Amino acid sequence: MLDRKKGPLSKLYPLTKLVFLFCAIILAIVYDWKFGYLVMVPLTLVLALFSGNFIGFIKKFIGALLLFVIFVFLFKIMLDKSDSQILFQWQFVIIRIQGLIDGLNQTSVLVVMAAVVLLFFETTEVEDLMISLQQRKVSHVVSYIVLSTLQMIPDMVKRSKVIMQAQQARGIETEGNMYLRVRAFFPSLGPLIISSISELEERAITLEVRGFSASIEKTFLKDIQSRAIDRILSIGFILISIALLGWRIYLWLF
Amino acid sequence: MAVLELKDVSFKYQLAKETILENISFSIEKGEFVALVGRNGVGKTTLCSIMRGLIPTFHTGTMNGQVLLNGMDISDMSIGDIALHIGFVFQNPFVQVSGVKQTVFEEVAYGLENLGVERSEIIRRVEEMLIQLNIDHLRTKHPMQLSGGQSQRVALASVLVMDPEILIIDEPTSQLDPQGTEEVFETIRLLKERKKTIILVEHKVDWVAEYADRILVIHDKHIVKDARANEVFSDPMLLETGNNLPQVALLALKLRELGEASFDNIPTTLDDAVEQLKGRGE
Amino acid sequence: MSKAAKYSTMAILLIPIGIAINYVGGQIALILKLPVFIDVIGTILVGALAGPLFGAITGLVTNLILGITAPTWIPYAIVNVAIGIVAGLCAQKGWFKTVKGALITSVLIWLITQLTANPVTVYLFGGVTGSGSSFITSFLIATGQSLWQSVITTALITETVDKFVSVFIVFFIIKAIPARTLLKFPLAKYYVE
Repeated sequence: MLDRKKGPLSKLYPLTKLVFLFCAIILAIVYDWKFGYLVMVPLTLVLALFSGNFIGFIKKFIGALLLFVIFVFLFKIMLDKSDSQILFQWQFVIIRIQGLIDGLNQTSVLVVMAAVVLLFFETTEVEDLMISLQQRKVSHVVSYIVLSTLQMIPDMVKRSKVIMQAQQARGIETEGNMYLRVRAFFPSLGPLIISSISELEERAITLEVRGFSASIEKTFLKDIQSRAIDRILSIGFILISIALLGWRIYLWLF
Repeated sequence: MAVLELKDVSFKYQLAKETILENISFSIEKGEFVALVGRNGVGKTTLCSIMRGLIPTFHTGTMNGQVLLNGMDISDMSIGDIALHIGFVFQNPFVQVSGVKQTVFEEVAYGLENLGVERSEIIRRVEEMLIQLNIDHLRTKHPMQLSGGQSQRVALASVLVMDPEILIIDEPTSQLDPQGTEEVFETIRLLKERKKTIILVEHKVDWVAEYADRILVIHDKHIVKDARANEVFSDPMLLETGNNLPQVALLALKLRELGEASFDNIPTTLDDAVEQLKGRGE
Repeated sequence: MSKAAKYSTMAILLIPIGIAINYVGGQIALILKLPVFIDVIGTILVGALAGPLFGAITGLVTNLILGITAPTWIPYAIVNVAIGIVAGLCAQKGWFKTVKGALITSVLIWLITQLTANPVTVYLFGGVTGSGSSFITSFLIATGQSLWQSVITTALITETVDKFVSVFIVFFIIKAIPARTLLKFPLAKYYVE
């Protein structure tokens, strides 16, 4: 029952934010780079100010995209065979405006997706998201799979480190030439997988004993509720998106 | 009416060469505290799985006979729905965690969420259980970062909180020191007062002799003895099936053999021995 | 269908393990600086033990969860889903039991990876994969090849060994799982007499 997320956006019902996320991505797909770079990205940044962790958000955002964006612009500039205005020229390197626009268009959807997804999880506990989905009749199995995975990954990382250290102590090289490193891979991963699978039986019994598959509607210890503001915002997002989609279709047709 | 009844049950695990249990028949009345006794590997855990309805659906194999839960054939019920009637705590405490909860409090509450209990009622029952099993100080700890003894109590609490009418408990004190063991047996005694039916597998016979009403001795695929606790634990024959007798009974038998003391019947609990020896001082 | 065959909790519990294996496998390959990704072993394993549906879910959730911190993984979910389905279908043909079957499975998984990953890379990512292999792609583009040619060539270089190794790791892991545990998974009959 610990609440680790702060800031006003964390108080919103998770599904409200999920509606925003999907609307943003759909609009980014149908509109060009100007919508993504000039509307959605600034909007997300402003919202991130209310996430309680602006610096953390910016770091994740740049970390997730930097390499990708650099390469896309590199590719687009190299592939640009247009005769548009030359912005920069040095020996055989020529940067034309069309190459840059191609780069912006290519990256716009992903930049928007990355921004809203990161913001979503910056302001939402995964557990709360799962509870809100279950309240909308999504199976508790989905919730189990996601939450269990989030505990399983750090647990396995920890165990793999222990195993690799044990391997090194027993003289199995984890550095050196490729042959040695390839040989180290199997004893590092194999026992980890086998032991996890061997524990499965007892884990399954534990869940059954706790009523995991009892045919009863589940309740929640954590009190997650949709408020009036959530309904207003969700309907608002959907209406704005429908209007913008309609406008876009109108522009395509006429 | 018996809450749990086994009628001529035999079972062979798939891939196993031999049957592990044969012609097992007994019935347990509401509120009884029954202990299963037998050597390691004799099939006590298998019998627990049969009573919990995990066999033959979960652990596959060839099963004959019938298990009746409140008169209903357990094989007609789903593994999930049996959780409403039977609680089951088994040996390895470290794997008895949901794997989806971040604190002991949430972990203990998990079963109640699955049974659709109201939120305020969940909180009330979890609070009560944390205090009863002396794990209140662990409430904000991560359920996977506990010691063996702590995990064992949390596992027990997580099942007891669901308040099933029957409890099958397979070696609940293997990771506990004497004080922890006593607390667990005290908890079981409280359950018995609340008319719960309890089936326990436990190697610590001194404790079993103190608390259990009735003992089933399993040996060589069969139930070889089904009697009151004091009858089973005062009989040296039990030693021949590879089981131990309570220290008190061993001492009394030894004294009688040496001609140092005579007993009307061999005591199996401390109180019993004290009662018989009272006023014999030279 | 018998009650035991319909019982699915073991298969459900296998999914988080599969996802964690995907992640940890990739991490170990990275730590050991191996020239392969090894990041779909879990998907293939779940597909092999529990069938196409469970394999697909493992693939989907892997990429969605990795997407929480690295959103560029999300579009590639389609690749991981396809791998899970193919692994599951191959397992239902009994191909994870023999070396020959595992070879056929490797080829099919490699093929489905090419068919699904390259369109995502080209259309959504403009040819960039976000891993070190983008250097190869940019080199190929610089030599005058088209984007498609460059992406496919890069994928051929990096993915081929990877998928064969991954399938065979799963093949050997299944051999090492005790028969009594295998019995509890939906596709048990393809591995245990």
